[in-house]
Amino acid sequence: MAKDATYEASYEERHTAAALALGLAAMTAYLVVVTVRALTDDAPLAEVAWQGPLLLCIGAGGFLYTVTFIALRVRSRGHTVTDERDDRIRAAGEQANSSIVGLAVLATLVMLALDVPVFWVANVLLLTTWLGTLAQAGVVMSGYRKGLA
Amino acid sequence: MGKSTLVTNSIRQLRFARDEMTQAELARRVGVTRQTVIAIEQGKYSPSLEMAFQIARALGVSLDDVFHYPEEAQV
Amino acid sequence: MNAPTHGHGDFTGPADDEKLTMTMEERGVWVFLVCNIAAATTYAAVVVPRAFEGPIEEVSWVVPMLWAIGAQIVGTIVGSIVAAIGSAVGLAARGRDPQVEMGSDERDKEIERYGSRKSQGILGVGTAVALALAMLDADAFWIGNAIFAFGVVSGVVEAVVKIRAYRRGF
Repeated sequence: MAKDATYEASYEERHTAAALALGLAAMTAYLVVVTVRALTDDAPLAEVAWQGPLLLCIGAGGFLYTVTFIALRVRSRGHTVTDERDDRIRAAGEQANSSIVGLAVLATLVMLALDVPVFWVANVLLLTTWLGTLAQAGVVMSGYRKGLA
Repeated sequence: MGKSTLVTNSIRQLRFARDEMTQAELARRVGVTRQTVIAIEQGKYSPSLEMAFQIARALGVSLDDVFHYPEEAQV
Repeated sequence: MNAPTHGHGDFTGPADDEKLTMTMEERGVWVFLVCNIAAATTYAAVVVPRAFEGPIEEVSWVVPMLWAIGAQIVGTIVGSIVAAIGSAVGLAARGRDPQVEMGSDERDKEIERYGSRKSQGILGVGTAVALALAMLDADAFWIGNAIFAFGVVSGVVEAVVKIRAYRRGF
């Protein structure tokens, strides 16, 4: 009797895993650079030049993700790539993200109302958005591994 | 998206056959709103597999008698 | 079983196709849509004239915005409750079971998800715009109002998508 595979990662699962890894790496790199800068210059934390590192990390992460995406796409050419199950799992992930994005927006408005420096507003917004995509990837991964209710 | 379904159903006819069961009564038995029963009857909503079984049970028939899928459907 | 007739209209089932009431969730979506537009319009009516009067940095937009957000949330909650009570009383008066007409089920949940997914992108663009403005060191007025505007638009889109899903399916 042929041995059936007990588990095989789908195309969507693979590229979600890639996005998750790259997202973690890019964010860590950004946080390290900004922290180092904050510690090495004499200016107060809120005046650290964060814009450059952020653009660089987003750019590098985006580039690597695009490369991975294309590679996976080429690899799975000729097969049925996504189906109903992928759609449902993706929907559950997006759902998890959307509530966190809403929270991020609200937090931003509150901070602006309280006259918090733009540095903090921008970075809180960034971090919450990032957490949102992290949650999305997490839900998607667990949807593939453990199944959806 | 707008995924249209090829699945059709005979809920209306079956309700009629079951002593003219009302949409509200079917909804009550399945535990959904009447609006959902209407949406399913009109082909505007595809119920989950679970709900589909509950509908069949409430109508006292098997799943195949309630929902139909065309023989020649393209996969 | 004889062959069932598919399609609608040609077959007349039990006569219970009385005027279709909305489920509680659908009613809530309408209330939210109205409150959202009303709050945003009122906010704009207060703040836009101020923005034209003096320098942007001195416009006090925070308090009106907090009022607008607060009013929108409270209005949606109160409005939904009032609408629910109203329709429950109406249904009971016509001798129908409010439980079966107004509860929420699998379909409501799916429409809820569908709507928030469809509008999520708009809010995403909004956060990107806010981040870009912050990078350019724009005044808090622009950051706050950009994100607010995107929030209002995504709320409207979400509500419209959900209402369409309720009425025409999805």
